[in-house]
Amino acid sequence: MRKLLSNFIHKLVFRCESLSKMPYKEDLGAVDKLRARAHFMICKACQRYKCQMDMISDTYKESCREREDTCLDQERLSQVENDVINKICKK
Amino acid sequence: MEDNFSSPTFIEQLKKKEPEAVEALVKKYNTILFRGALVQLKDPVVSEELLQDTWSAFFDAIDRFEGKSHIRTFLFGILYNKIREKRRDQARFVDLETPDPILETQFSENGDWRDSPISPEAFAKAGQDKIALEDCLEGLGENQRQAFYLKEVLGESTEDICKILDVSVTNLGVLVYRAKNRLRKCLEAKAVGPGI
Repeated sequence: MRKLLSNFIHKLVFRCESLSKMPYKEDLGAVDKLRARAHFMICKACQRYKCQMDMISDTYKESCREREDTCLDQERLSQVENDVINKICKK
Repeated sequence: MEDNFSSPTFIEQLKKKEPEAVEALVKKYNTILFRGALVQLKDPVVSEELLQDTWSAFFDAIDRFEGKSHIRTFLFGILYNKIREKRRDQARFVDLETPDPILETQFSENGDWRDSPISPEAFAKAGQDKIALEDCLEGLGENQRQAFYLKEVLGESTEDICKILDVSVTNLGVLVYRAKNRLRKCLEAKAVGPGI
C-alpha cells in the first residue's frame, strides 16, 4: 500500500532522478513545470541540489566576467575588426 | 544599415562582401566571439588568432549559408569547430553512450538521492570559490564545457546550442546533466575535503 502511494505521488511530482535530468525550466511544458515546482516544495535534497546549481552558475558567470575584464583589450579587438574588414572587403 | 542580421537582404549583402554589411556584422559579433573563445582557451593571444580564423572561415562559407538558423548560431558553430580543431590533441570528447559511473550511482533504484546534496552553507565554501570552480571545470569534457558556457553565460536557447554543437536535444540534455553534476560532485568533495 505504501509503495503504491509512493508511486502515485512520484507520478504526480517526479522522482529526484528524473527532476535532476530535466532540461532547463524554459524547455518544460506547463504541466511539467508545475510537477517540478511541487517536487521542490516537498523535497529538501532537491532544494539543496537547486541551490548548489544556482551557486555554480553564479560563480561561473562571475569568473567569466573577471577573465574578460583582465584579458579583453578593446584596442586590440578593434585592430582585429579592422584587419578582418579590410581583408574581406579587398578580396 | 540593416540591423536584422539574419534578413535575406543582409545575407545577400554579406555574400557580395559589401563593406557596410561586413563592417556591421564584424563590429556586432567580434567581441562576443572573442569572449566565447577566451572562456574555452583561456589565452587571449590564441583566442585572437582563432577569432581571425573564424571570420575567414565564415566569409568563405557564407555562400553556403541558407539562413535556416540565426547568423549568430552559424558564427558560434564555426568558432566552436575551430576550438575543437585547436584542442584536438588534448580533447576529451564525452562519449554519450558510455554511462558515467560517478553519476550513475547518485540515485537509488527508486530514483531517490543515495546521499543528499550537502547544505548550501557547507557547499558555499567551494561553490563560491572561482579557483575551485576553474579546477573542476578542467575535469569536464570539451563539449560539456561548451554546452555549459552557451547556456549559463550566453543564455542561448536549447535549439541554438544543439545547432552550434551539432548534437540532438537528447544528447544536449545528457551533456548538460553530466557537466552540472560533475561540477557539483567535484565542488562538494572540495567543500567537505581537507581544504581548497
